[in-house]
Amino acid sequence: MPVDQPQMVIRKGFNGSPHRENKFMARILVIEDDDHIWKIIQYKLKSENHEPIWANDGLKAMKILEEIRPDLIISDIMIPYMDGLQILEEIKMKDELKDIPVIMLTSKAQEKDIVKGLQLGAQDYMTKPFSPAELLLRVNNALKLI
Amino acid sequence: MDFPKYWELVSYLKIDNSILRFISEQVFFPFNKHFQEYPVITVLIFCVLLVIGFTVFLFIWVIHLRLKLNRYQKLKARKFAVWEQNLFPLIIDGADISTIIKTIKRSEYELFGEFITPYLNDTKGDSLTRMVGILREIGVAERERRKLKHSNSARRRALAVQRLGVFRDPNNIKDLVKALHDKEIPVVLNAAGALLKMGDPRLLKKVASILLQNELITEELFAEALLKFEESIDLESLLTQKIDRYPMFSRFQIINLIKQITRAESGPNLINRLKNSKKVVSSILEDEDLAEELLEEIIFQYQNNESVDLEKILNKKEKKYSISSRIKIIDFIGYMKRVEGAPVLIDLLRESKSDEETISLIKALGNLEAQESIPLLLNRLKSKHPVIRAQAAKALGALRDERAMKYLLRLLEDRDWWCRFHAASSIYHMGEAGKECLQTFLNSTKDPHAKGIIVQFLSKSQ
Amino acid sequence: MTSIDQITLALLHFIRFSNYFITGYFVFINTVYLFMLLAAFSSIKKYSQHIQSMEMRNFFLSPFAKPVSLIVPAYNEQATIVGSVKSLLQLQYPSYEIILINDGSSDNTLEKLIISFNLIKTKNVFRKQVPCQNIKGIYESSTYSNLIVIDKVNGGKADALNAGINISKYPLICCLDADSVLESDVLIKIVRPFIEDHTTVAAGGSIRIANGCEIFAGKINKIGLPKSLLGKFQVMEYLRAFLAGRMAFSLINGLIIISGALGIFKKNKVIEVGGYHTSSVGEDMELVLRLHARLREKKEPYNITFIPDPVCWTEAPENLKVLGLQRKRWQRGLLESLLGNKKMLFNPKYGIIGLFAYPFFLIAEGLSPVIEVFGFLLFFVSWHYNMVAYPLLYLFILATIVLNILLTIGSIILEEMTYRRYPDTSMILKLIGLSFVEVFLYRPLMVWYRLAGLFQYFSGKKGGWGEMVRKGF
Repeated sequence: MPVDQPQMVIRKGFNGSPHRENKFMARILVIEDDDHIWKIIQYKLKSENHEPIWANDGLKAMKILEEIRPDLIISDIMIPYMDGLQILEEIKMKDELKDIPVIMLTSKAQEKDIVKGLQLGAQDYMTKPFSPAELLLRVNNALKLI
Repeated sequence: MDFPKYWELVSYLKIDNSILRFISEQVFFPFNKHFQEYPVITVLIFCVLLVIGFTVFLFIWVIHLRLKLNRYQKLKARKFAVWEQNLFPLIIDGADISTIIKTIKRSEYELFGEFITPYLNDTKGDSLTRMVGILREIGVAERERRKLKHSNSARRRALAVQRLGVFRDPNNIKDLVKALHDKEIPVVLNAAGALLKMGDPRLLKKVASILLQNELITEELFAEALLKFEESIDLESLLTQKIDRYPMFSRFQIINLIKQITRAESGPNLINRLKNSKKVVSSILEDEDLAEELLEEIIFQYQNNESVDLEKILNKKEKKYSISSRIKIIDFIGYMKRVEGAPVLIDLLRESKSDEETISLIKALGNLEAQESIPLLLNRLKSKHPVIRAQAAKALGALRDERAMKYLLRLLEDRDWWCRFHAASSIYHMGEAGKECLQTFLNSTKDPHAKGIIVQFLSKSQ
Repeated sequence: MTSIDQITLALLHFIRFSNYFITGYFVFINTVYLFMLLAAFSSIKKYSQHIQSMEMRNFFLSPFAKPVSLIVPAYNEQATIVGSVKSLLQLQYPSYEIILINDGSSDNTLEKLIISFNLIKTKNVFRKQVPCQNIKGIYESSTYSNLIVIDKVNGGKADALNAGINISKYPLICCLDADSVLESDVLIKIVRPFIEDHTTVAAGGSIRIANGCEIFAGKINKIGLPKSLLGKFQVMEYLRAFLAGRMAFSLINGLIIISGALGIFKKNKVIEVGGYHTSSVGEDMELVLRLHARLREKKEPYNITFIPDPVCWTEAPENLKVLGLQRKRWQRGLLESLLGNKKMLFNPKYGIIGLFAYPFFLIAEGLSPVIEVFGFLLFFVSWHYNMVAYPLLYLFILATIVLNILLTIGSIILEEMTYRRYPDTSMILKLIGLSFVEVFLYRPLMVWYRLAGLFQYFSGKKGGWGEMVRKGF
């Protein structure tokens, strides 16, 4: 499976295309600067028929969010240019983005960031190292609630 | 070319010498015919050729290095792509392990190790188990064990230990514990991480005790190492470390126990009660012989003299590193906000005679927001040591108890800048009552420093 | 013998002695540098291995990271100041504060800062622990809680640094230049020595030349060589000075200079020695010498170390006039620092600093322009009149030209074998090629500037900083 480079997906409008049937196919924005983690997440999400989009830093993430509205966001906290918590704050202030569920991806030592993230309105969080199966459960859980 | 004129210019270089002549005649005899009179020229030509040759060699060497690097990187990229293609179906979908094994040649084992390490660090659960399975198949464990035993390079040993840790194999424990005593810190820390990943609480205790005794490991390195224990760390294993002669925090339990007994009994009844408490004491100390020895000494003292200095008996054999080791544990409890450790820290603060330890304790109690420590902190506001006063003021701010306000106010006129700062900050952050309090004090105080620091905070609300 | 003959004889003896001396001087200095280069090879490899084995990546997430106060003096930097501060705000480190000091700029530096970062003037009080000029205002940013800007009366860089020290609240201070471009993991790397060894009191970083590199939003995207010849020569010079030179000095705990573009100190020790000397021109070296002196006098075990990783990139002057001003100033600063601490010279109380590092710096850098110029001239004159024995001549050429070229090439190779930051092979080849002409073109220029700086110092000039026109990133 070829690895995607972070691209600008210029597609306006809401959720998945109508021709995909069966499962609920979601567009998921993954904000993560570690490409290994991205590859794992990308593979797992793709194997469940979701559509993962990669942003490897804060600025790219915000640019993408100006163009499209993903169904879910998975975001690391320590990323270049704008950290995950700042992005979360920005998202929650914008009407068209504030209802998107956000899953924070943090490292074990960043306890206070987890608390802050949940306070800002993140749906859920996962600590690294993470289990891809567990990630999928949380993703599906978050998607069910919208 | 007009030869004679050329030679006139060059005649300036008419330095003669037998060595030069010798070199010119013997080594450069082809040229010597033409430049017989000017042996220095032949040597000059030789030098020029040497320089050119050297430069060309360097250029070639650098280009060769770069090409080698490029080739290696291309190979790496190719192999990594192949392995990625095969890895994810295996670890995420549970495909057959033999597919990926077939793609790894013997000579590529190290490279594969490099490839898979980030994924090993990032995942857990089934995916991790399957990756470890691959490594087991290609015999990584054996090779790393060998490297650990024989490698002279600290980095290689540290890497070997790190890789062994991935297997979480109890068979490796012996080798890993040996590595804990390595003289290089990276190896020790990685060994600690490898052992802690196994999740066994007994190992946690053992690892902690070895790290505590290692003077090269600072408080920060100690705490970072312990974080590798993925489950939650049971404080008992830290608090029962034998830092002095007796397990670190058990001494208070013993002191309390003996005090209870002496309050209830006296005379021969007391001696009997003490003798009967041997079982309890040995369970606290986790050491029967030590318990017996201790009780004998206490009983002996009581038989000769009614008032017994328990602290003195317990302090008899304090080890050199005990304070710094206690501080490592105190700092850890504070950083990780383990509130269940608060009672122990409070006991320690009550008894502590070391300034350094007191400061660590106050910081930790502030982090834990332990309300019961307030009386002790208020007491410490009067300490002679300015850092203790300042840290106590800071901790009281974290506890946000308005009772502390009037004591903190006194600190606003302290000589030390940090005392004033933390006192003002703590009062300010207690809310409206605090701000009013500051305002009142501002009007009544004559101390310009106090006025200054209060204004700094009050102006923030505007 | 007539008196004229006697004088002539004495003169001849003197010239002969001078020739031997100058040759010996170069042989000694360059051999020492050569040893340092070799030592640097092994110690950089060792340092890199140490870092790799410690899994650096996780450590910046550590809650136990020691908080750092960044102290950044700025004077008339309106073109680049906002960009610089923005890049400082993005460093990967859990807790740090940025203290920017506006040293009485005559342009719009302060105004730009106030607007870009929503600065509000506070009524903060501070303790004057080290001397500095009057502080007119302390501003805090309402958008970035860790940004503080100090507005003060002009006093020079050292004075501004002291003001920053007075305001800083953390135990570690990191002194920077306003135009340094830092890599995002710089704080992790440079704080590491303090965590691993509690006796560390100071650490210096390696400085690289940013000219020719592509810089976007305060980060280096692509590394390149400066376009101008002068720039390329400076690249080689910095490689030699930092990679080969300082690493070796740090090994023997004889590092007496930490660059003002990136240096980190334990605040309480800096305050103990009285902070920076506000009138000094070479304040960075001056402080480090005083730290050495003080700690050795107290017989306190300490460690001053050096981080060879390329973490700091700075803009170098590419025109002769500004370069000249800079080098003259450096020479004045060097002499001032050295001569201000004369007590250390050959004094065994100061250990390896007094017995080796200090004297070496004095003759290899401080007084070198005088020695080199007069020694060279005399040698050339005496050679012209056939007064020089040819073995001496060859040794002289070997020591000055050949060894020099070897040292420059050696440091380029060192870079190639350790960090290899220059992506194109042609860049390294260009540098190697230029090494052959560096000793004929660049070094004489440097000797000239240094000589001018030396004269300026002894004639009591208190030069200014010289305005470097910021091109902006």
